[in-house]
Amino acid sequence: MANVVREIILASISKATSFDELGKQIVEACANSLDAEVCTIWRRYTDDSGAPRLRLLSASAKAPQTIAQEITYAIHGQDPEGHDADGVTGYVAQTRREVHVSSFSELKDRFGFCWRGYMDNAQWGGQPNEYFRSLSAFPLLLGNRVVGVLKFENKRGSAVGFPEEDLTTIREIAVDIALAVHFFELLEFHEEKLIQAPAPLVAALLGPFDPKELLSKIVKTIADTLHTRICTLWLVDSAGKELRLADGYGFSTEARAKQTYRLADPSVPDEEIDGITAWVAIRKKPFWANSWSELKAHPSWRGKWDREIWTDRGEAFHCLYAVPVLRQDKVIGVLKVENPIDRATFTNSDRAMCGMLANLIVLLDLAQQLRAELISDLVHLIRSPIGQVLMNLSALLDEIHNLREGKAFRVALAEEYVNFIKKALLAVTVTSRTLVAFARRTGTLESAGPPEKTSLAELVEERVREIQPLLYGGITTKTTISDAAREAELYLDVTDRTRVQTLVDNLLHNAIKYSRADGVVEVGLCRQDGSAVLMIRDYGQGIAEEDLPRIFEPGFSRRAPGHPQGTGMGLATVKQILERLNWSCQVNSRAGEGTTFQVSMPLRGGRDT
Amino acid sequence: MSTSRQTAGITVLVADDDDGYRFPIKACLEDHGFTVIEATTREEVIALGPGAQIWVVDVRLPTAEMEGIQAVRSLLEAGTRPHYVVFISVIPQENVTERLSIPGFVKSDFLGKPFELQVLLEMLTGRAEREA
Repeated sequence: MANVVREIILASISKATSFDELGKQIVEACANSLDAEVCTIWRRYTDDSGAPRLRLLSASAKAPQTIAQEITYAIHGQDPEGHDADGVTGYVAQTRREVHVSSFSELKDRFGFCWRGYMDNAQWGGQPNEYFRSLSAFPLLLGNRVVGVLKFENKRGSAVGFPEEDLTTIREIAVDIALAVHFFELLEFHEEKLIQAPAPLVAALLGPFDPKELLSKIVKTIADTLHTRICTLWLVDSAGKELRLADGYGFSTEARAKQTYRLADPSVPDEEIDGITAWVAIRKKPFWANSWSELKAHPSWRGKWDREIWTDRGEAFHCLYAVPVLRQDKVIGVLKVENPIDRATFTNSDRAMCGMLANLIVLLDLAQQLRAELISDLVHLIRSPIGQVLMNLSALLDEIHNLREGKAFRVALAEEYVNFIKKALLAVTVTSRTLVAFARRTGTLESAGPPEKTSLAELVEERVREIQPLLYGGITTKTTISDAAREAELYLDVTDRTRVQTLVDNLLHNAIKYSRADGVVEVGLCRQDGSAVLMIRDYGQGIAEEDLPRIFEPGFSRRAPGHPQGTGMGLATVKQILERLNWSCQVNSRAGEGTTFQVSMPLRGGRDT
Repeated sequence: MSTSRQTAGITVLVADDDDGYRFPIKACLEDHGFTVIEATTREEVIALGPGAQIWVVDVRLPTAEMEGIQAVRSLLEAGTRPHYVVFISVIPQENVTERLSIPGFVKSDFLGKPFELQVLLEMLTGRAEREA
C-alpha cells in the first residue's frame, strides 16, 4: 500500500512547476490516498529570537488557507513528556510521538494540557465538537532532527478515525515527506538571502553623489554581502576595445592601475582570448573555478591578474566566480569574486546573488547615464544663451570702436545685437527660475512656512514687470486685470508661490518666443464663477493641430523661428505645477495666428476670496 | 567694410539654428568682404553646402544628435569638396573629437562657443589667403 501511495505522490510531484505547487501536490496526494478530509504539513523554522517554531508549509483544499498561514507553534519546550508543549501539533514535534484520536472529547481528555485550538477553531468554524471526528499526526524526522509534522483529519466515511493500515502507510513514506520539507527549509533560507542582498547596496548609495566613491562602495558592499575576500568590477572602455579595472576590494592599490584585458571579436577561438576575464565578457557567460588547476586549465587563462594578486599574499587562490554585466544584450563589464571567506567554494546561492548584483550595477549605470544626459541638456540650455550674449556684446563693442576710429556707427545693427543679448538673457532667466522650482520639488523635507495671503493680480503684474527689460525685437506686453480679479487672493506658502511665479514666467516666455517681431503679448486676469482665470496670448506662429495634444510632454519642443530647440522642459514644468496646485489649463491655437493659454485657478470659499 | 582680394568672391555657409550666433557671425564676415549664406537645418546645409567654399557649421544643429556633422559627412560622401570647414559647438572638444572623423582631404578645425569673432575671422582669412 505504501508503494502505491508513494507512486501517487511521486507522480503528483513531477507535475509541479513551482515550489508552491509542489507543496500543494504533496499534501493533496496524501489527503487523497488516505481519504482524509484535511491534510496539513507543518515545517520547522526559526523565529526572530532564534527559537524553533512550526508553521504551515501546505494545506489541502478544504483547510482554511489564509488563516492557517498566521498560525504557528513553538517547539522549544524542555519537557520530553510534552507538558509544556504548544498545541497538539507542537506536542508531536517536541516529543516525537504520533497522536491518534477518534473524537473531539478524546482529544480534549488526553491532550487538554497542551491543546490550544488554533487550527481547530479556524478549520471547523469555531465548532470543533460539531465537525471534528478524527486526527492522526506524525512527526517528520530526518535522522534525529524533527523537520516538521504531518497531520490528517477526518477520515471519510469512518467514525473511528484512521485504521492501522493507513498509519503504517504513512510511517513508511514519512521520510520521503521529511526530505521534501527539508528542501523547502533550504529554499526559504536561500530566498531570504537573495531578498536581503540589495539592501546594503542601496544603503551604500544614499550618500552624496561621487562616481568614484560610488564604485568603491559597490565593490566593498558586494564583497561584504557575498562574504568574499576579493571583489573586482571591470568595465568595458568607451571604445569597446578593452576591460579596465574600475575598482576592487581586498588587495593593494598598486595592482589597480595596470590591469587591462583586450577584448576581441566573438569569432576568435578561446586560446586567443586575452584572459579568463575577457573570455567572460566576449562569450557573455559566467565562469567559475574551484581550484588553481581548474583555473589554469581554461584555454583563455593568462595569469596576469593572478600574478598581481597572489604573488606575495599570505594565502593562495582557491576559488573564483566571474559573471558578465549585461545591459540588454551588450556587455558593459565583468564582476569577479575570489576566495569566499567561510566556505570552500561559491555556492549556487552565491552565484545567483552575484548575477542579481550584476543586474543592479546595470541599473546604476543606466541611472548615471540618464543623469548625465539631463545635466548635459541643462548645461546646453544655459551655456548656449550665455555664449550668445558674449558674442553679440563683442560685436557691439566692435561697432563702438568704429565710432572711435571715425567710421560710421550703424545704429540698426547695434540695436539688433542688443536684441539678441536680451533674448538670450530672457531664456537664461527663465531656465534658471525653472531649475530652482525643479530643485525644490526634488529636494528637502524642510517646511515651506505657513501659507500667506497672495494677491494674484500683484503676482502677475510683478512677473510682467520683471520681464520688461528683457523684451526684444520690439515685442511689447499688454496687461488687463478686471476689478473683480484684482480682489482675488490665494493662500500660498513660499514653495507654492515660487511655483506660480515659475508657471507665469514660462507661459510668458513661450508667448514672447513665438511672437513675431513688434508683436504684442496679451496678459489678462479675470473672474469666472469661483475661479480666477489667467490668460496669456500671443499672435505669433501658433501651434499645428497635430502638435497640440503633445505640447505638455516632457522633451517635446516645437521649433520656433530663430530659436534653438529647447529640451521641452518649460511646458512640462508648467504641467507639473498645474497638477501640483490642482489647476487646469486650456490651450487654443491656430497655425499662423497665435496661441492662447488659459489657466483656471479655483478660489476656495472661506479664507480665499 | 574692408574687402581684401582674398575674401571677395568667397562664399561662407554659416549653419546654426540659433540666430543669436548666426547674426553676429554673418555681420562680421560680411563686413570683411565674405559673401554669407545661412542655414538652420540639416536639409538646408545639404542643399546650400555645394554653393559655398567655406562652411562654418554648428555640430548640433536643431537636435542633439550631431546633425551638423552628419550633414557635412553626407556632403563629403556625395563628392562635395569645400576648402575649409570650421565646426563650432558649445560642447567641449573632447566630447566631440571622436565623432569628428572627417576625412583628411578636407581641412577642418574646431571652435568652442563662445569665441571671439576676430578669431574666426583670422581663421577664415588665413585659409582664404592660402587658397588664393
